[in-house]
Amino acid sequence: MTFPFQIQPTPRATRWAACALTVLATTPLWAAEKVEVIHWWTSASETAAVAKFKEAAARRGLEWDDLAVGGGDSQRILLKTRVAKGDPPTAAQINGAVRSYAANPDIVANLDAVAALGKWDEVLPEPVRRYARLGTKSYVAVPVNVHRQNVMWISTEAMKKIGATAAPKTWDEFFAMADKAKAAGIQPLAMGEDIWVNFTFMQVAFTTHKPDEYRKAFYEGDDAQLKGPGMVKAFEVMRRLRGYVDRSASTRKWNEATQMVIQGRAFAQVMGDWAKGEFTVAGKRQGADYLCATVPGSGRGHVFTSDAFLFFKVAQNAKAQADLAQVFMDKDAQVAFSLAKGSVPVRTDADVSKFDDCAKQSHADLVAGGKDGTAVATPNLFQSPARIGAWRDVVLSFWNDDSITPQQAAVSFANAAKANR
Amino acid sequence: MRERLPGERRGLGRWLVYGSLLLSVLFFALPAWFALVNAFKPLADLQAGNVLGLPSQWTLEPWVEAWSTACTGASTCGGLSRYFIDSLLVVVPATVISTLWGCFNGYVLAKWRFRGVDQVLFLLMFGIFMPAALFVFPLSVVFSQLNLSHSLVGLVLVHTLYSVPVALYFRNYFVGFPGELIKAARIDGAGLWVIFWRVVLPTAKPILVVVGIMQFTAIWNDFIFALVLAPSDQQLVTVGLNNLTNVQEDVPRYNTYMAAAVIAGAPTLVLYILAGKYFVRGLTAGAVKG
Amino acid sequence: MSASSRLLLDKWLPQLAVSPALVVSLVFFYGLTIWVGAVSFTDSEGVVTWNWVGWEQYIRLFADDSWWRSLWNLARYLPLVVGLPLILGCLLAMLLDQKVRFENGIRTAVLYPLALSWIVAGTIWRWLLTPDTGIEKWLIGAGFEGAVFDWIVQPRMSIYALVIVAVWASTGFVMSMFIAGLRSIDDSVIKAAMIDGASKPRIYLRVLLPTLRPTIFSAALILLPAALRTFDLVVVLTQGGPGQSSVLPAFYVFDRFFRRDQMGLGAASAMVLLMTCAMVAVPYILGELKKHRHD
Repeated sequence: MTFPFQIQPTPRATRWAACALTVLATTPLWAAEKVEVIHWWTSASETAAVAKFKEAAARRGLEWDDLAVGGGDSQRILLKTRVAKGDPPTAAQINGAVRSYAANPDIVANLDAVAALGKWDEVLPEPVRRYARLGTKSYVAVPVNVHRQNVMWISTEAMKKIGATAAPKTWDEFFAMADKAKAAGIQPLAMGEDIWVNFTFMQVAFTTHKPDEYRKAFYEGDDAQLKGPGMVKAFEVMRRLRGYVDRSASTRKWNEATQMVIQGRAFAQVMGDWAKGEFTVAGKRQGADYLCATVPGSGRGHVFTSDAFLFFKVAQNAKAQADLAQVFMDKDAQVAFSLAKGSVPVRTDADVSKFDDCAKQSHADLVAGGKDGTAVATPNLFQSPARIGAWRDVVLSFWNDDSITPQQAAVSFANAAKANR
Repeated sequence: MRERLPGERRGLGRWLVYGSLLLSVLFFALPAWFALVNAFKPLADLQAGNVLGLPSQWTLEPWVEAWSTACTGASTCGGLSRYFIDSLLVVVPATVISTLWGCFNGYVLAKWRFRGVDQVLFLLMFGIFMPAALFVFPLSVVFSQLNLSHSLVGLVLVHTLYSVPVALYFRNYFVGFPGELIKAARIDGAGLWVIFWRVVLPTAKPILVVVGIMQFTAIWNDFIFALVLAPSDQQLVTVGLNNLTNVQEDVPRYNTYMAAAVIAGAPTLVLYILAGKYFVRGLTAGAVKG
Repeated sequence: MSASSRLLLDKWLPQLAVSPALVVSLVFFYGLTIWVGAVSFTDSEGVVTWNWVGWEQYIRLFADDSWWRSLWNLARYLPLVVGLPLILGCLLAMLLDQKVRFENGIRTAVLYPLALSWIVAGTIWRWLLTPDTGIEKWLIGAGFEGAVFDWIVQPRMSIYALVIVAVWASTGFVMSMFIAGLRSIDDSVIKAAMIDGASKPRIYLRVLLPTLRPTIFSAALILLPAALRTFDLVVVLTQGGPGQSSVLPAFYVFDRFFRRDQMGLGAASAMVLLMTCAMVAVPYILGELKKHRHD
């Protein structure tokens, strides 16, 4: 319930910081502290996953006021409006750089005190730490999970039909299998709407760059690297992939594409580990009915995205906010959440014994890759939406227009970065 | 109503008329058929590729799910029922208020000559051409200043405010309205208000119905205002439907989506089917006198 | 109350009566437009910052290929979604004027799309227009080998997929207006033409159509702004895809404003869109006002 009278936070809202933790809370003990959380998890499995955090919050005496809006767009609009109104929620789900919020210390909370208390620096892998600070010096967001993106899902039924025994390790191996699949009347690559074309491109680019080159191009936006040979090669692979995708892809939701692999109508799909839920619901078993391999050419490299909660400065309830941050970083809560959602916990010290092989592999590669640099975050977590959008435009123009050469596309790609900071 | 032209009973012309009408009806009714027929199918039927045919077995499950059990949010698995009620709470008052107010303004603009009437008309007409979706952002700021963002009252208000240009439809109607009655009433010393209530309103029924239907439809179907300005615990049906169809993690349950779509469109559909006659009659009565 | 003050009140009463509406339109339509205009001169990204940068956003806008693309798409989209419902609606009205059976049923069948929101309509149509789930699949299944209906996934044709749905949604309303117009035409006009021995199609085209001119204008006045503002349809049906092939200016505005955190650029594009609307609207409105003065 919302109270009809709400104290509007003044521009010079009470600042909360480390002292908030040490000062005795002035709120009466019998009143449950209210926290408002905005997110876009509305499906059954997501709902079950969020419930795990809710339970953990309730155990800490927090009253969780839930605001779920379907579709990331709607959620973003709502969040933006609420922030503009000076009425931000306690925390909001983000996945992607929210630079404009983060760069605005009047808006976001500073979680350094909670982070020090919970030793976040030790339990978060390096690229995730970078993300939780969103390019600022302090922790402003709490990452809760990691989704691996560079996964290729392969139908074993389709593999049998074309006589393949193992997942393709290189793009050349993949194209050889794709030709056989095509000849056998199987759709070689199941593809979803435009955003997934772009998604696939990012996974391809990871295989045509060394991790350091990838970071130089996609995090720092280095011009020479962006139009370098790695990028040209990525576009060349995309052009070849185009021949193995059907017409209807651009109106297909990603999970409809996954259904094609499940039913054996398609050979493979490039999709993040969230696709696993689809196979599970359909009663398919990992290893027997489908393979969860990395995208050809990735080896053990790990490209991930992470759901995080951005914390806003709110006038009251500094303690509740700190409590909520601890809930999101809670080891058991993260495990329970990820088990329900199909991701893996972001904490490197989490116990993943209950997870399936695919998730265990993902977590192991994340921990190892955090140390040796082969784990990279998707560019969406660091770049501005403007630049990500401009890049997507280039990728899709190339995808839909055969007259553009890979070299031209790479140059456009670099220019898009120049035009959009 | 004039006599129609005498129609041929038979012959090529007749066949042409019926043939073209049949084709048009097929085109227009196709999506309705599609939605209805699929809302009665088990999901397996759809996955097997039967999308345009009749269900292999009829089931009411998608309807039950869409109305009362489908999850549209993390803590709300009550289907569309609650959204539906909240929508009615906004749409009914907003429609009544905005229609009556528009009627009053239209009458003043049509029947009372005063300085500046052209300028007012210009401002209103231009308002029709503006994309309301853009205002949503600054609007929300205004609303929080006025403390309106925590109840449905704010939404009623915003729809009323953005419906001001409907006064133009009324004005166009009243311009063709005989002035003698009003003149007579004026000579009797009746003021603007009295004339409006006693003389104008009773004769404006046809146009009231037309604009009422238009307003009800527009407000019921509005998405962006509902999304941004509705209080978090009282969302409206379009947002509910969007949440339902944008679920990204399950097998797409199109049969439930279609049932939900039909439910979300039901009030406005029923209105059309019941009041379609009045609708056309209202248009005849002069809503379209340019 | 003295006679003079009463006279004064009488004189100002109409202005008083419409002043609330006037204030609302000034504040909520024009005030907020000015706010958006102001934002277009700042470097706002994700949140509004009042940091003035002059015409920079406008320069960026017109250097952006996507913006030009959206204008080109609009140029293809607009004439069709205004013209086709007018032609179709008029034809249907004339056909229904032929003493046909089931007239009410037919009218309802054509009019009902108007009752549905874009979210509902778009969801249904996307499925219908997609080659492997909708009409094309059904056609092939019905024995039309090699039937192709894949506009929605062809970059060259996707804008016309939007047109189909927009026409489907608005034709019924236009048809109703034309029916109303036809029924209000005086009988003697037709009788005179019949005596002259004119054929029926000829009567409709030469005699009745010219008298329907006001109807055509009113219908256009409703269709045009709706078409210029089309964006929820794009969101639901194609998301502007494939690629940029079905992006319309209003969608571009929305995309920059809310998705790409480019509020300044979004505001600039919104202002350009408004000016475009104004170029269409202002002459039209002025003409209307002039006409009314002669009433």
